[in-house]
Amino acid sequence: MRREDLLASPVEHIKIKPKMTVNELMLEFEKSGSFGAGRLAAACNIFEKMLRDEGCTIFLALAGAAVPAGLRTVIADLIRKRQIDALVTTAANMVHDFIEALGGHHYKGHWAADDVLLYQYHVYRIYDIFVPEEDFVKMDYHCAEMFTKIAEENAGKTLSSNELAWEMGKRLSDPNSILRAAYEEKVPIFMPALRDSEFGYIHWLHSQRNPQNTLKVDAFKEVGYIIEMFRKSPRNGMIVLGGGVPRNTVQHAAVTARKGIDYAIVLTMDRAETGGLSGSTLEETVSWGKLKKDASKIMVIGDMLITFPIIVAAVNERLGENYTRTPALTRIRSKIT
Amino acid sequence: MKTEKEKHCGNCSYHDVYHYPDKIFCVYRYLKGENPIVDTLWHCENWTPETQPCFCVQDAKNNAKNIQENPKHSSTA
Repeated sequence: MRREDLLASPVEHIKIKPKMTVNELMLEFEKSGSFGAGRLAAACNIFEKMLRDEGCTIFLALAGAAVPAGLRTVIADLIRKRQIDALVTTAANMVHDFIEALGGHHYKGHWAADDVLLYQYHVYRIYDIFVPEEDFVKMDYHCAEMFTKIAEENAGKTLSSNELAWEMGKRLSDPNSILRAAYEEKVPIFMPALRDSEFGYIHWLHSQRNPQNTLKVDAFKEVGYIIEMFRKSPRNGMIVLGGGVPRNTVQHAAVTARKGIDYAIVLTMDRAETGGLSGSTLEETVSWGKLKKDASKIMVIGDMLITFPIIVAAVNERLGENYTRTPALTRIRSKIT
Repeated sequence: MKTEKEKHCGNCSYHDVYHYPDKIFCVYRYLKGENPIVDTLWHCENWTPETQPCFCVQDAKNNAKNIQENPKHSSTA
């Protein structure tokens, strides 16, 4: 490399204009190309490339309290617009989706609240969000009864977590629900750590009352399905919010399918130095064969509640209101046995 | 606290809030197949003291008193 190659692209200063749109701001960020602004602009470009690539199947990996914090509608809309093809999520996020589907709420609170007082009032805290216990309890009660009905209707059949997600979505009427949207659009929701959530407690409640007719869920049943999705899809994209088990599930399916990921966006606050997966760099992911060495990839260090809506808004502005996407998954599904 | 010495669903270890502060969801009753939604100020023979106190009994009593004194202005639905 020559010296002039290193100095080929000067930083262009960000210009703020009245009434500028989200995408216009992202294009200014791209001109800067620096720090978080440059990374966020790159993430927009990669998401746009994923969507415009007709052979790309897009996996959204979701960890952290995204739904309680306000990303529920963003995710449900992505499903309804078929801008993602599979959701891999902590079950806890679906618990919170379920709570709102039943009319419950999450409330703006404060990170410095008196937690003993919250305990005494039966109010739970998720950083600066408050959730009243009764919304959880009503969900427990309703969902335990739902599990009983699902078990009865499936008559001893063992479900995968994505089949259970659709069974739940089928029984919820809230059109803003992620579970409902996924059921209607036939987008799979994989919950690899299903029991590590309120669903685990709910299943225990249900099983204690229905020992002869307990809902059966096999954590391994869906493994082949997600691997086949990767294997049959010409290209695969991954968007990670947070990290954890959902990110690992997507990446592990990619390597098991002997097919690295082609596009990757990771939005996280975690760091690589601990050796944990959530903060691991995408270069590290390449070493496992989970991500192709020439993949379009970017890791944005920042609060996903800020970065993800910006990316989705900017890219949808580029695509326009009339844009529709036929998912590669639709063509793939018929090939999956 | 005086309320801790009294036996109420609202200071029993099986209690979760169903409609704060007046209605309790009793996990014990649910598991037995009985109606799990009970009054905070009620109790049954399986009452077990909770490990950490909350405001359920105190606030339910205040509510009950307010309703008694001014039935048209109850704080609960």
